[in-house]
Amino acid sequence: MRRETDRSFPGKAGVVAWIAALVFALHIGIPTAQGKKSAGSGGRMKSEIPMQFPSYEEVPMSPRLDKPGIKVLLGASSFEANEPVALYGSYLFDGPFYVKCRGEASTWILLTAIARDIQGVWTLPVLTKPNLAPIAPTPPPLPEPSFRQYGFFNLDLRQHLQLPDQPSRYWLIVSMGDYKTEILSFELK
Amino acid sequence: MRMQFPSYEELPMSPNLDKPGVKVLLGAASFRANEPVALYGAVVSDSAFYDKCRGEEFTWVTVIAIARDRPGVWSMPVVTKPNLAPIAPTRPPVPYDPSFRHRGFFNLDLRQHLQLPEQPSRYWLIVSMGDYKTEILSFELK
Repeated sequence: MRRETDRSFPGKAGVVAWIAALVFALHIGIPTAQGKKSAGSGGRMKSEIPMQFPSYEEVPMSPRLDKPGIKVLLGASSFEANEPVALYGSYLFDGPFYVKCRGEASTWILLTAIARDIQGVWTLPVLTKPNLAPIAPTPPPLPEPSFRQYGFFNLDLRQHLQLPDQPSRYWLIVSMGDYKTEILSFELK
Repeated sequence: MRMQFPSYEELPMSPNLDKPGVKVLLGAASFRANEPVALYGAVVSDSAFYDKCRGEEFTWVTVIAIARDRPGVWSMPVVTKPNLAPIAPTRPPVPYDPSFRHRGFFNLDLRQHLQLPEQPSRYWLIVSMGDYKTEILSFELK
């Protein structure tokens, strides 16, 4: 006697194939539209949607600041060749610094990378003010004492500082007027 | 007698170093206009670093000044090797000797060496040499 099978439901082999496909999809990490953050090997922050650099908005990796200053976070402590050297930065400034930088804090944020295995120092502001839009010669009036302004930057240090392709370890310091970060360390493999 | 900058000999102001690294001492915390911004430095390299820098420590000692009252960073090695005398690319490696130490000294006028601008500003200063670096120091140009 021949048994009728429901063609809309896969047989035992089909079920196995579905499970194998699901396991494979989870293993390779098929991209989703949510850009969910996950901690991979070595605490590396991975985003399923590739991050675009440079950008100047708050992202989940942006460091928190509760007083005037500057804070940065490297995406990892070491980076493979051609991988973006992600740096996430936040800054917060008060009225006197607003007057000092004439509202152009990003042109005062200086990134300095000091090579440890090759000779050289690479330094550049987060933003370079083009000559076509010069900073106003007269400083703006001092805002009220409670004035606070936030800002964010997300950079690929390799691209931004034009770091050479050779492997090297680096120290990194980021300054903004009277504020500076600790000396951080990263490696390009 | 007035001190001449740059110079590369040990002076009474040269910092003492008892292990591999780089150490510097500023002549003062603040400097008047036109006064030399004296920096006295000492380096000690071990066998591994001496080999890495091919015996040219001063080309690896980098002086970095970060302005606090204006946007700007000034950096320069203590000595820039001219192209006419390139570092030998095929120098044989120094056999590893744990007791090997090589000392050096440098005395610079930072204003002249880094070509710092004349306007008053406060600066942070850091000096690096390969894997070694100083603490972050501070000075002011009035």
